[in-house]
Amino acid sequence: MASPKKKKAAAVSTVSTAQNKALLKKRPPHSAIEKEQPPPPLVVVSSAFAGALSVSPIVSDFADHARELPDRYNETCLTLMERDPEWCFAYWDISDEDRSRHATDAQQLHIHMYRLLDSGNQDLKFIHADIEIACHYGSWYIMLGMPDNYFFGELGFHAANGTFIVLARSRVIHTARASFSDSRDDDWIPIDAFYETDTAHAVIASSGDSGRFSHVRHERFSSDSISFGRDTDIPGRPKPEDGKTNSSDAQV
Amino acid sequence: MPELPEAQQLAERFAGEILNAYIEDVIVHDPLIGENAARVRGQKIIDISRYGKAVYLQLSRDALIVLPSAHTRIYFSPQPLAIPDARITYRTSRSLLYLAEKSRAPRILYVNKDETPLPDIGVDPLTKRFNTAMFRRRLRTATSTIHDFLVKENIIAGIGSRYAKAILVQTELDPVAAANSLPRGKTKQLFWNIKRVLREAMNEQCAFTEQTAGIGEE
Repeated sequence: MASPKKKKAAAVSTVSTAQNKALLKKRPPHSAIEKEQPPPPLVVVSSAFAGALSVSPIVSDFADHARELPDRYNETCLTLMERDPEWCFAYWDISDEDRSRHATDAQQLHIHMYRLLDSGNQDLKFIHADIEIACHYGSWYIMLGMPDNYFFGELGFHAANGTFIVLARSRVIHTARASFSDSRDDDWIPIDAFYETDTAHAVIASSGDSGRFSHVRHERFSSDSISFGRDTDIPGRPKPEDGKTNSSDAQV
Repeated sequence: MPELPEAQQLAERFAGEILNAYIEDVIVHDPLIGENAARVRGQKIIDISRYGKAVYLQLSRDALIVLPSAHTRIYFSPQPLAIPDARITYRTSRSLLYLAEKSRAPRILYVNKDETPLPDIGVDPLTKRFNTAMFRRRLRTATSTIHDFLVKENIIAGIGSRYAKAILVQTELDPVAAANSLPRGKTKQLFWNIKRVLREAMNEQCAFTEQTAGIGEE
């Protein structure tokens, strides 16, 4: 047999579900929602907790429906976003003006993907893929298959004489490496010079590093000679006695 | 003459005014510019970027390269203007673009997509392609002075005499020193000063842009 508390909770749940249905049935059209002021508060309360919080459940569907993002913005664009070393995500849109100017409804639209030899020089490019698209706006995942390369795309169509008419060009993206870097950079900043900079002090101060290690670094890099061995004087660390090694040294 | 920072500013200005606009009409006032410049009629400006010291306008089929000089004046206006030394006018779907120039040198290069090769320029100093290894290699094989090395357009694109002098002063180098005799430390310092001086000039809004590039506004 159910306890009175459980009965009460079940009753609250039943009432809440019924209220939800009633509200959904009474939902006014979009224009009416926009005119109603103020909009319902964006509070979503589970029916199980409604009684305990003594707040009536509010259907969030009103607000979500009224503020839904549009499918398109009527701006000609092609945007690429790198997803992983071999794939990118593309979305595009062709404005109504461009559609009417070029009569693109009767054209087969294409996205040309180009691979660049250098990010700053779009003259050194090679066509990488030619993708036929069927919609004037939409999105697509594109398989590039070449990690660590620069790509950009062009959205357009082929004219009657075969020329590719470009309507939009994307920015240049760089796919990430899928392996370790093969570059050997010998231009690292000297570590002592780095710790003398204000940036290093700010980083150490903001990292919550203990004062002891900050002091050690300061001592190390403010002195002329830099030592990283066991002879470094670390405040608070007992010095090994002459001719003896401490326990960690003995283990080594 | 405008150099890399000014050209970058100019390209950004162009982008703000006429990017994604259609070139509806082209009026050539000076026949020296050539009829080719008018062949872009009806094309859309889909991208505007910097190409060395020039501004590169990528159109839906072809391209235009604007090479501003110290005497070039560029005007953007929604209404027609009476520009006495205007050499070419582009009427776009967003505004009118006037290119005025006192000298007779053509300042607009028409680039046919399939026929015209782009002018050969060197490495852009603000890209990753310009790195210390490449810079040292080029310096070793150079036969000129360090000043001439910096201003050669086919080695490093975008640096002119003014910024070359600023870079050399920052690096404490004699402009007439041989480029291939720099010590390793100075080479590295010079490399970073090139990037730093150019970036600072761009960040400081190029106080002399208005005089050098001659952007007019009506």
